[in-house]
Amino acid sequence: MRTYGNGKRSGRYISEEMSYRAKRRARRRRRRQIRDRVIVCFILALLAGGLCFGGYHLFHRKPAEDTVATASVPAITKEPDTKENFFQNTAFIGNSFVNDLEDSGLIKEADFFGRVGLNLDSVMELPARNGDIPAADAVCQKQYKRVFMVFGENELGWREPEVFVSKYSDLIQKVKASMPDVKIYVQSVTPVTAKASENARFGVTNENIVDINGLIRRVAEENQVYYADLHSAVVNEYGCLPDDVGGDGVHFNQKYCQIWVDYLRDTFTEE
Amino acid sequence: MKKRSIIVLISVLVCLLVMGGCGGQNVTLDTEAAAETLTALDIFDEPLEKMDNDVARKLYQVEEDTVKNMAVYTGTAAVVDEVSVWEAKDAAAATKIEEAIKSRIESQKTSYASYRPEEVPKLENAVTVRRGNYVVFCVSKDSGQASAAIEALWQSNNSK
Repeated sequence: MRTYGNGKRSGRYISEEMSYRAKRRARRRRRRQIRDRVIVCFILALLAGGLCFGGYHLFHRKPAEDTVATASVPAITKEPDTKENFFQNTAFIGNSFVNDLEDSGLIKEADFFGRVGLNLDSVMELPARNGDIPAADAVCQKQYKRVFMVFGENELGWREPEVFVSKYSDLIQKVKASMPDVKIYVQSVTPVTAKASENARFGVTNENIVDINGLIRRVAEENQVYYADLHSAVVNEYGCLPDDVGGDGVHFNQKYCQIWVDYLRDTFTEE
Repeated sequence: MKKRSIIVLISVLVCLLVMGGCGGQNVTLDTEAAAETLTALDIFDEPLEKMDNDVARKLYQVEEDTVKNMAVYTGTAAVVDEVSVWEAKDAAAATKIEEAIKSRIESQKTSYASYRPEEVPKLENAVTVRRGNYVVFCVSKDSGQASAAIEALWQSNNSK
């Protein structure tokens, strides 16, 4: 800055300084304008990108109905459980086999709603052993993760397959309505010993058992629940239950209850 | 002389009363061994298997604090055959166990009346014996042999 001896600046310098400052202000103004334009462009680019991304998924999303319609029978998928906790929050409902399983003490953490002679009619009317209300109502009093249904043995004498399928479906739908997230497993009827099959007491023969298991499989498909094929886990090469089951050749002793438990745990648990 | 006779008589009576009173309270039974002895008899329609105590208490609807020792054996659901031997914690608890056994019998009768009516007579002839704080229960096809076997248990355990 040029100054006189007295410290004052010349008029010419004053105008030069003013010009310099004006130019500096102008330069700063231009820089701000450029900066602001860059910011605006960046924001616009972000908005544009967001709209494009959301719009794609909005108009190209697969309807839920399509996903459900293609899965007619849930594959026996392995679930993220461990073998140790598999039976937690689980219920078994059904006939005398459920009593035997409970009495075996092999699954203390499950709840049992079994009664000797229980069938798909009486399950809606009679209480389970030591129960107060119909077994079908009792099982619906809690939200279970899994419900295993054991029916068919006491229905072997029924003459109307459609009635069997209909009543089994009714029970399944009742339970599903009560606990929408539950996994339901309908279990096949197990074979009987050759001698028990010969006796054909109340229609209990291995041939009839194979037939009713066909109906149970259909129940599973139509209701989109799991089919637990315990029959295949215990049947021998003659289509019978081995004689070492003892007893009446129908009901399971401790040994076969253990096979039952192992089958369910091994088949439906994901390691 | 008369006074001496009276004293002797009273002493004898007192001794008899004390002996009688102590006889019932000295009853002991190994519940597990007793149950095994009974299940080995040939009076059941199928082999009986031991039941877990927690499961058995739930089955009989008996509280844990009622029982000191226990052993329960059952068959499959095809039969009502059963053996249970209980040592209750006290006399009141033993009464509760007796009541639980009565309820069990009635419940089984109701269930099996339509399912397997041929099993009901076994329940009607079920044997339940209580001595002190012990209760022994047996359902079999031969109640006479069961009763005799249970009586033998008391004798063999309390003659030692």
